Amino acid sequence: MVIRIAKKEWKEQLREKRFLAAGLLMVLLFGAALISSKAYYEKEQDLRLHAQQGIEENWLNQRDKNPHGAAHYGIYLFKPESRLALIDRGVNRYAGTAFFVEGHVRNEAQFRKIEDETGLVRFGELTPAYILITLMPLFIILIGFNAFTKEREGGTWKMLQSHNVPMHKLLLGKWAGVTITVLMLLIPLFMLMGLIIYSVSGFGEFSLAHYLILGVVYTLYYLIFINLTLIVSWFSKKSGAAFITLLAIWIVATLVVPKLFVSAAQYLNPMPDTNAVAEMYRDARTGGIDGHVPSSARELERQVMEEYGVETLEDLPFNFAGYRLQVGEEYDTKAYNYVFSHIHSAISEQDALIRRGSLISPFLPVRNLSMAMAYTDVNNHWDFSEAVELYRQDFVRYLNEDLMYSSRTGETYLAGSDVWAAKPDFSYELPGMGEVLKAQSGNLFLLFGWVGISFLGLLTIKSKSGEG
Amino acid sequence: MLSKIIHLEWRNLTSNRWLLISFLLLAGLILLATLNRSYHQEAYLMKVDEVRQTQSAEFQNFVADHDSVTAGLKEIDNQRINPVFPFSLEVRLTPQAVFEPTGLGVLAVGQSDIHAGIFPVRTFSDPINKASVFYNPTTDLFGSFDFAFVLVFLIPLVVIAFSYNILSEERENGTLQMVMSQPVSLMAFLISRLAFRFLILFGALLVVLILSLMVAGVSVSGNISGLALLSGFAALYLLFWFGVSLLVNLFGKSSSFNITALLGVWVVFVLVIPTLLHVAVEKVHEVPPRSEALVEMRNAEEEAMSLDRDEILDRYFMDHPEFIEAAEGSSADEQWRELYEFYKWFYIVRQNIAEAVSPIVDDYYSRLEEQQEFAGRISAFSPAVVLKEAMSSLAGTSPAHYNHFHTSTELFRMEWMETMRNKMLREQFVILDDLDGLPQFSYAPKDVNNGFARAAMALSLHLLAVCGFIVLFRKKAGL
Repeated sequence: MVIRIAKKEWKEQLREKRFLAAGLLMVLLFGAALISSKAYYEKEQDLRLHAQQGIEENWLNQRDKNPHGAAHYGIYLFKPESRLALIDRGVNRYAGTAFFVEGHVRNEAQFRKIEDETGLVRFGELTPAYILITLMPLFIILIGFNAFTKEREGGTWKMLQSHNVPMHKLLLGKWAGVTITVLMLLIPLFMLMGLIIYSVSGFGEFSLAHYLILGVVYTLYYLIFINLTLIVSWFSKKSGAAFITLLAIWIVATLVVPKLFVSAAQYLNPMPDTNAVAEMYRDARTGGIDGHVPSSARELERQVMEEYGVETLEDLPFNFAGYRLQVGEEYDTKAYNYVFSHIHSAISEQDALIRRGSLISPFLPVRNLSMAMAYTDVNNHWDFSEAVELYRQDFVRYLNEDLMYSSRTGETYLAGSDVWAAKPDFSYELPGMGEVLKAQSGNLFLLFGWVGISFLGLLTIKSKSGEG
Repeated sequence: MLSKIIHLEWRNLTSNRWLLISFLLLAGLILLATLNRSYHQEAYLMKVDEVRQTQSAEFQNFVADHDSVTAGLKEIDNQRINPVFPFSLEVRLTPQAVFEPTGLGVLAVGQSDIHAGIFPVRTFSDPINKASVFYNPTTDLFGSFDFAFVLVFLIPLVVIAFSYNILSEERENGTLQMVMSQPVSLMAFLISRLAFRFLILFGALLVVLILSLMVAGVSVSGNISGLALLSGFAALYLLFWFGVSLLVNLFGKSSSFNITALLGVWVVFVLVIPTLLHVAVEKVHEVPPRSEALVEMRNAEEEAMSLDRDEILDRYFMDHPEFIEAAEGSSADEQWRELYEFYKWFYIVRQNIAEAVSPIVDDYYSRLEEQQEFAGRISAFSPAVVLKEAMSSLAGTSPAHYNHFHTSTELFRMEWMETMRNKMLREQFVILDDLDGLPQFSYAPKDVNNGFARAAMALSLHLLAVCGFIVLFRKKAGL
């Protein structure tokens, strides 16, 4: 019986021209998104490699200079995009891509792509995730909104009742009919996308398990919308009313709630502005040794001379200026750690507040999970930023120590290309899937909660109908 | 007859509880959106004020220090901050570039959540790093809640919910025959009903908007021309959606068909076309990545710095002998001379770097402008995009405004650099009377009237196209 209902439902969907048209539109858009995303991804990767190479050449070809001068000249590190960014670009356009690595200062990432954009991008970005997360629920609503209302409007409702069709079987049949259509659309698209991502040469391994989990997240999301659609269709008298209600739910979930919660987060937990950050830095940096101001390190001079049993700095077996710069650098680092932990926690607080919107909108946990799994969320941005900061400390220490050990106090020393060539290497690895899932446990919990509640909703229909 | 239709309509509307609730909800959202943006704008203006106050305090300190130093009452070890030495202007009286939104800045967030509106400009500021503030990329991704969002995204849905069954309902309720028997054509009946609904919605929208602006403390009388333009755009946009709704009704299908078809049109114009246009803009008008400019700038910097100092100075004075003469008249003693020599080199090197990179920087900004121009032209494909862009132009927060701001900043930086360089080359000390003559940053918002005419034209064309289709299908439908 269930299978027959599902089949009938499914056949009806195929017969309806507008469903076919909508399905076709989804496939075409998905294709366009995949093609443009791939092209964009490959171009960005080329540009990044090219720029990184240019910076590397800059660095190697710089003139001979004091190694600490070279630390001021610094280098840039460009953030690579994971290959799953092809699906969901997440915050990549909105976060900086270039990290300036220099002495004394930890910099916020520069060159945000969004700064070079027209207003069009604010409407949404044509990526597979945009189709899968924002538009796909609309398709579900379209094929399911009149699942029950059409029986009422067409007069077949009474017929079903007179044939003693058990309501739970009817419900299950309708549910299966809609779900099969959605999966029939999703599975081939998802497989095609997997193949393309697999074929792209990119950053990070392509792990099938990881990709499948992403697929499961999307599927669970669709189940929520399928359930909601059927519930609304059940309780509506007219198809039009069902549709308007579902549309309102969709708009609130995908468009209104995220913006409202972002506004609330900006209002309740504003980001510190540049002045506040500068002040925070000044407070954290007061006292301590300034690597460039010898008078701030008199005590240190005395201690070091005592330790080495020498009378003057010139007698030390190393260049005290390099040592002082490195000690000063550690004070700088400490102050920046303090400042950046504040900025980081301000961002975390905002994100936690936005996450509360997940209680009203299943879109939010899924969007967050999707970005996290694609390594394009703000956590990944910070992860990279922290890796860059650790590298920066190594990089500056290397140069200061070169000054320290390659010369004696008071000498003029210019380092050359051999020193530039031997700078520490930067490497970054994406966190493993376990780590991502652990960080996303809150969103996973919310997603499962939504799935559970929507199924409970369906069950209440069944029990109600049992009485009728 | 008309009055009867209107009377009936009014009763229909007021008796529809859902409609009233959604109306109130919408009014609440508009108020919220306006207050939200006005909070941000006020916070921004307060920051500007704070920076200006700090600046004027610094200025007074500077003058006081200058007086003490020239009177011989005070000695300053670090000449870089000594107010008689020109370099101190760079660090103590650093000019600030300040972006100013228009009076209607609260209407549309535009790019104002992305760009820093206020930052210091010095000779050695980076011409392509746009001095971003500390940001949370997630909030920028989802975007802020503003009136532009309500008008562009949500209002069309209200229009659709308001009119999708204007004809199909009569048929489904069996009242169509009754309407047909009246001494008024069906078309006139439909149009008068829709016109009435348009007026109600439009009127309510204007009232709510104006009240919200008043609550947010925005002067209505001071922005009357901007508001008039906005109402014109909004009216055209609403009429377009009412027109689409009428058109779909003329197909003579069921209400449920109408609503799905109308939603399809909404999805296409509001969600699909803009993303496709964005892809097109990126493909056709690519902006050179700043990372490339960065590499060039670093090369230029290394090259300029690696030349012999004396050689640079000699070469420069060969081309500019007037400065040798000017410096001879300077009252600087030997110690100052040495310092001036260093800074002469410093500013000449800065100029060389600026000259080397200016083609790249100019190219970057002009390509950005071209891209925005192109996006403006192709946005005509979707009335939603046209309206949103027009609103950020009205608010003074459009990408074009920020581009103009950044190029003005860069021009100002050049002017400032030249002033500083000349002072160093002439070995001039800072005199208090000079301070008034220092370059001042002033930002004149970009003239976008051109864009408004284009927006009005695009919106009218869309409306006309819909009207054309209506006339066409009216014949087909036999009305």
